[in-house]
Amino acid sequence: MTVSERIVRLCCRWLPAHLSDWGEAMAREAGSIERPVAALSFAVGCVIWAAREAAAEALRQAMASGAGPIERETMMTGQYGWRLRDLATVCGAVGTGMGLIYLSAAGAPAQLLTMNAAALVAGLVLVLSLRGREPMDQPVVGPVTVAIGVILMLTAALGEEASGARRWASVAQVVLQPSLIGLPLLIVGFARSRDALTATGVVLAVVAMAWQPDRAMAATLVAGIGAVALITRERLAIGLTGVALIGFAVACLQPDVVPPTPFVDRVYRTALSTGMVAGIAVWLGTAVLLAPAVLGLARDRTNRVIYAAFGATWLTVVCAAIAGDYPTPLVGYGGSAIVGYLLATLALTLRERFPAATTAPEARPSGGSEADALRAAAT
Amino acid sequence: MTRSRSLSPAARSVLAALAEAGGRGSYGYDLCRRAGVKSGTLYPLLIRLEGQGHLEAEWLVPEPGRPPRHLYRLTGTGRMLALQNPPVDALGEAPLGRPA
Repeated sequence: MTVSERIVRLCCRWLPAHLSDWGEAMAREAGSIERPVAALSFAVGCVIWAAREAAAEALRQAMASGAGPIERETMMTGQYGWRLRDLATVCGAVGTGMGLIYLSAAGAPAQLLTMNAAALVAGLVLVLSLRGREPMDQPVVGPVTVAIGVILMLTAALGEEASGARRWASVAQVVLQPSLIGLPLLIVGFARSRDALTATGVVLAVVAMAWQPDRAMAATLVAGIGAVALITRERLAIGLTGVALIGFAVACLQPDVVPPTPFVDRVYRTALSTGMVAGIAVWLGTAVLLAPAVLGLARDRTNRVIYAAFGATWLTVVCAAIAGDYPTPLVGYGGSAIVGYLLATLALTLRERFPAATTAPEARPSGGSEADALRAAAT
Repeated sequence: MTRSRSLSPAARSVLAALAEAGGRGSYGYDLCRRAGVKSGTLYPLLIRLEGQGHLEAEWLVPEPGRPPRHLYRLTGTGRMLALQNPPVDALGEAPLGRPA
């Protein structure tokens, strides 16, 4: 199988069931093209169309059932949770797109835009490759959260240091903030499965945030785990919230004098003064990134703890960026938050897979005006 | 109520390329080249044409030992649609209803 065919096949997994035959046709066609450049160009067109169709389908399904609570049967089969996970991925992509508009309008160097776009592609490839699977189900979720905790501890011990803080790791000359990548997934993972292993991951993360120190992410842990405690009233979650509060207090006791970086920090405070387009893009992108949590809380009461943790996590990251010199998620420069957001969406699933074939609508044209034109011309 | 709206230049080009291939049919990439459209434009058009009965899509093995590919042919109504909507170049001017 050629690379182009593989790319098309991977992206066409996003397509609704009634278009899967067309996805297969495109993949086969991409695989039949002999010239690699032409095949890649063909594949890119297919991927753009598939992404558009998948986004439209996810939004259509999320908005389809009105504002009322979803039916019990739908909740039991897991259909709605799967749709919300898709929607969250789309929101991540749209939020990042808004960020690219902001960066462009604010005159950021092209390299920053490229880095954010590359992070989006990397995140989408990760999410796409795990579509239809439950990567944060038992028994994986426990070891994953512990691994994240260990990585954060290693960052605190061996990571790159700036102005007394040690929050970053350099991978292939790209500086990453592991806490922004892993912490949201860890928190939502804990919300999903509250046991000794995930609790160990949380404790490790609390210690790491206090050690680095990182007030913003320490506060994010308090908010995320606190949201779980508030909803579940479980001893474990309440106890961990206390631990997270202590970690936050320790982080606050240490000096935090990391100077602001243009297009990363203070974005909310400067976006509107940069220009109307930049300001709208930043605030609209922020609203979009919080939308999956709001929708999930409103509609999927069975799994509200997961959406509450997701929402509290990203709301706190946003608040930290508004209040202090901390990275602006998705809409500012920084690939770590983009990948972190998309990774966290992987934990927004229910127990069962979305049975796409049973809910797929019949094949119908998706573009009204062109379809109307074809129909009108034929009569 | 359906709106009367002229077809896009891309739709006209694809219809012309399909009509030219006639009963032999065309594969997706050939259509892209002959109609001068990108794959992301071609497939939505093909899907709509098929949905409205203007196009037949068939899995066909192009050569022995090669995987099957979608082959596209216009139906009777599709051929009529192509005749009624020649490509923009063939008109010698912009389609009606569009600013020149």
